[in-house]
Amino acid sequence: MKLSDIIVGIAMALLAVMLSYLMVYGGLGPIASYNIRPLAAAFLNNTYNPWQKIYSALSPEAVTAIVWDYRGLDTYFETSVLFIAIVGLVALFRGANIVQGISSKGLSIIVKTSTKIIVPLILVAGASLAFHGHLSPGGGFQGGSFMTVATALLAVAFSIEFLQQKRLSLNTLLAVRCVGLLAIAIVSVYLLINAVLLGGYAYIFQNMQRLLFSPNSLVAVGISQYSMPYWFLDRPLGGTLFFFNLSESIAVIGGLTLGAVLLLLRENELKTVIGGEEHE
Amino acid sequence: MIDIILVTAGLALITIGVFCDFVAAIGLIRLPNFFTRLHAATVGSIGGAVVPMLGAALLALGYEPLGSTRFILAGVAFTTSIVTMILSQAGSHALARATYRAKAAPLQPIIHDALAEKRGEEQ
Repeated sequence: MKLSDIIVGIAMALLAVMLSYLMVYGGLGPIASYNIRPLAAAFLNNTYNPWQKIYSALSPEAVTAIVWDYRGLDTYFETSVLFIAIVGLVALFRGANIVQGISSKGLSIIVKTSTKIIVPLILVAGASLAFHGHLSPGGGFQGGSFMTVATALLAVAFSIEFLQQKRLSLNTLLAVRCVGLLAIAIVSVYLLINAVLLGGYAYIFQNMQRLLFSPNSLVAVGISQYSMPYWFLDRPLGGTLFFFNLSESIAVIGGLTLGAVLLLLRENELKTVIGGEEHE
Repeated sequence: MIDIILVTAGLALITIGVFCDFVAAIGLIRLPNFFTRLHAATVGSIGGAVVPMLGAALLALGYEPLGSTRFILAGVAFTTSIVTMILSQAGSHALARATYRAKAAPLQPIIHDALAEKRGEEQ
């Protein structure tokens, strides 16, 4: 046994001991300073508050309410960053396509069978994460990336030609992603279009009814009476939150699966596309 | 009475799991090549994860104060252990097969190569 092994072992043990000391005796400092606690209290009081709809998102899950309602525009641009990255990937790989090739057999039958068993389970778990995002921890992005694991597993175990044969070609995946993004855009301006057509006022990314301010001053002049549906059968629906989660998960499945399939394309076929040999 | 049996069985299974994890850790350090180390890793994931999860299911079933929540806990632990049992084998099988066919890791020390014999017969 070398000296370096002993030193690494002792260092790891010391790290574990010191971390547990910090956790037990609160060496990491107070949890939150007193100045910012009223903010958390306000969010917790208003996240699900049927008696004060003008401040409420009417969703029991505070994180989703903050992400998609209280700072909706911020999250929209955050989502855009990912999809702009995927646009870059698509632009880089333009012209590339899945060629029906020799190695379309996939992995061995053991791997294929266990993939068949696990893929429906992953899809169901991801769907429950995404569509229950307004009721329990989770959300559209998390659920969507969860379901992408299933399609990536299929692409690895059954080969990417299998996806192509099941009509999940690159263009279809791109279309799925675009439909998801379009649905996000439509949901975010739905109430505004309503207000323009039917008269009255509304905001973009509006969820429940909100106070209406006059353009030049910070004085509330009334209430925007439009609001998204907030009750589905016997469950809270959270207004826009459910629709945002749904469309975000669709967009994420399309986009991330597209990225995974593009990165799985074979080198020989890509060289002719990316190398640009026809321009020589 | 049945509680005591369930809790004892659960704790016994968890103890077996701890032993398997320990053996797997030693094996990962001491064994000579990739395939034997993969075997040690599989010992860690079957003996060290599936068995203690079954033990946790029994333990949850035997713990009365949880009320009806214990059935949920036991069901989740049982399902997870079964799914892990299917998947970790498939994963290590895929790894070993890919490594063998790509000749990415040395086979030595080797006593008997049944795959090479089979391939020789076919040709």
